[in-house]
Amino acid sequence: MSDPILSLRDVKTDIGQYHILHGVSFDVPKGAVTMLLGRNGAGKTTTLRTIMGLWRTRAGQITLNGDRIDALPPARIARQGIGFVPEDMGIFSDLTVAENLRLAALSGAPDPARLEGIFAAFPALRTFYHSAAGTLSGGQKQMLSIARAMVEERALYLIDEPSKGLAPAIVATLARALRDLKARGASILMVEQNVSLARALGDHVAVMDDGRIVWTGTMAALAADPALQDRLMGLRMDHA
Amino acid sequence: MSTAPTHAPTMTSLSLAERLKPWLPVALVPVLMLLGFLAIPSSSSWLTLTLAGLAMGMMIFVIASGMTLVFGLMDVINFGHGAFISFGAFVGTSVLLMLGSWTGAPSLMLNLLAIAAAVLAAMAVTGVLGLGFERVIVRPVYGSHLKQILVTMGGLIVAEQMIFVLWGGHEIVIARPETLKGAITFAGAALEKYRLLAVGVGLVVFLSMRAVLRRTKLGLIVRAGVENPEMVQALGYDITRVFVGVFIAGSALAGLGGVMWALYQEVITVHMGNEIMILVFIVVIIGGLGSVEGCFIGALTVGLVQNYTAFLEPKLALVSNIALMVAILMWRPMGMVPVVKAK
Repeated sequence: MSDPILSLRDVKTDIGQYHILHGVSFDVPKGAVTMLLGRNGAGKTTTLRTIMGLWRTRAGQITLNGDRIDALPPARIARQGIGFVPEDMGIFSDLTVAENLRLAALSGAPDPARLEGIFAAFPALRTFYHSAAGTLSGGQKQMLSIARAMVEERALYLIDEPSKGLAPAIVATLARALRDLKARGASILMVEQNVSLARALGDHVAVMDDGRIVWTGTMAALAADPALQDRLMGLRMDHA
Repeated sequence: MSTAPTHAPTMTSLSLAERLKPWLPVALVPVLMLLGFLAIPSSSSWLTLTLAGLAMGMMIFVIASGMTLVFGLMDVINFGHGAFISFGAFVGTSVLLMLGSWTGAPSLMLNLLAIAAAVLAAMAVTGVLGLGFERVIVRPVYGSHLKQILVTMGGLIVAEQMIFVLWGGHEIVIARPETLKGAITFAGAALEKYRLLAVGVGLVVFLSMRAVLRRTKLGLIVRAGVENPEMVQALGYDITRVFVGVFIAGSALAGLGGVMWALYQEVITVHMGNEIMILVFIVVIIGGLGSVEGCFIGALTVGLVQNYTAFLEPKLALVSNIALMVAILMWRPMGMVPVVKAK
């Protein structure tokens, strides 16, 4: 495994009076896609939100490129170079597609060449560029959410269930865009329940259960071991 | 995985009714004016009342616009907003009284300079007060509406007591500058000069706010923050700093509104801010919490309804705006221009 871009060590997070993460530790390698898998309620989304600083850690360390980020506010963490695609997509409905993308460009305005790349991956965003984002379909909103993270080069992308609730055709479009992102050497940590998508994109895997990491390894190793899949996630990847 | 199909969408044209739907609230003000024209027997009276309603609406808008943004951006209910109105009025009035030779001179330039000095002083003082108010009173109670109501009302009482200490408890009479006294006659109607100025100032404030919100990155951040502050942070923007800036701007605008209201009423009292706040709350609610455009339409609607009703059926004037609020909330429960909030 190459040097990790992101490391979590014994991270504990509480939400209100509930202990959600009970000491999460794993690494996200540079230039690879790491899949965070696990059953519903295992703590995957909480882990991503904790990395972004949207939930504060009670204990533990999170480092990005060796620098601690767990005490930073979310805006500073984002400016360290993390692009975040939340589970609910987090698009701004009252803003147009163009305004959503402009907002994500911290340098001012989106680079035209990069914008063309986004339009090539997601033609719908060109069509509805000046429409309110709230009028887009669910799939188009997810495209916008991913495009927003891609509007500038990021050190790391945190993507939470991009295929959730989407039609297979849209999932295929998203998969193509994420494969392109991966091919450009991006570091990605992705939560995904769609096993075929996870298997197609993932290089490494961290499996969570009850707020802890219970297994880490390569996607190839997990995919080759049906008994392990069954034990960790209660399913077989080749049957999913 | 199979090859993805080209997901090229096509657009269908909306029906006329669908396209007009979002514009219905905008049509409310001209529709009200038309109804007023039909109900009021004399066209000159209608013109005078319409100008009075628009002037009153513009002043309420100036005061309420900051408050609606503060609510939209950080979910903060500030019952202490009236303190900035009162402080603005007292600071502005003090400046105008000090510049008595300018306000008393029959020179439009000197009169406007005196008003500009009063407005600048009032906005500066209320802006600084707003910064202190946010730091000391509002920041510790983010996320708790009940505490916000209690603490900001407490802040209002403290601010009013400070005015008692600094200016005394008596009301202060302030005459309008010489060239802004009286009215001009147009189409047989008497149009007060000061009301024309108030309409102009209100329009400038609205158009400036709209330009900032629609055409600048800061405006984009504010609009996005009203909908989903958490995501704005996750994109790399410090929403707390933006909020403090909006709070200061909102307080300064309330100060400006206080000066305008002082010259409108020609008398100021310690409790004037608190009294205006009833109208401000109605405007913020019927406009749609967090919406500047809604606030503008709501303020003009309230101003026109109040003036038309006072002329047509004076006994109903007291309840007209409450009735208006009930009617609008039955039509649009989230206000005229509802702001989408992230869950």
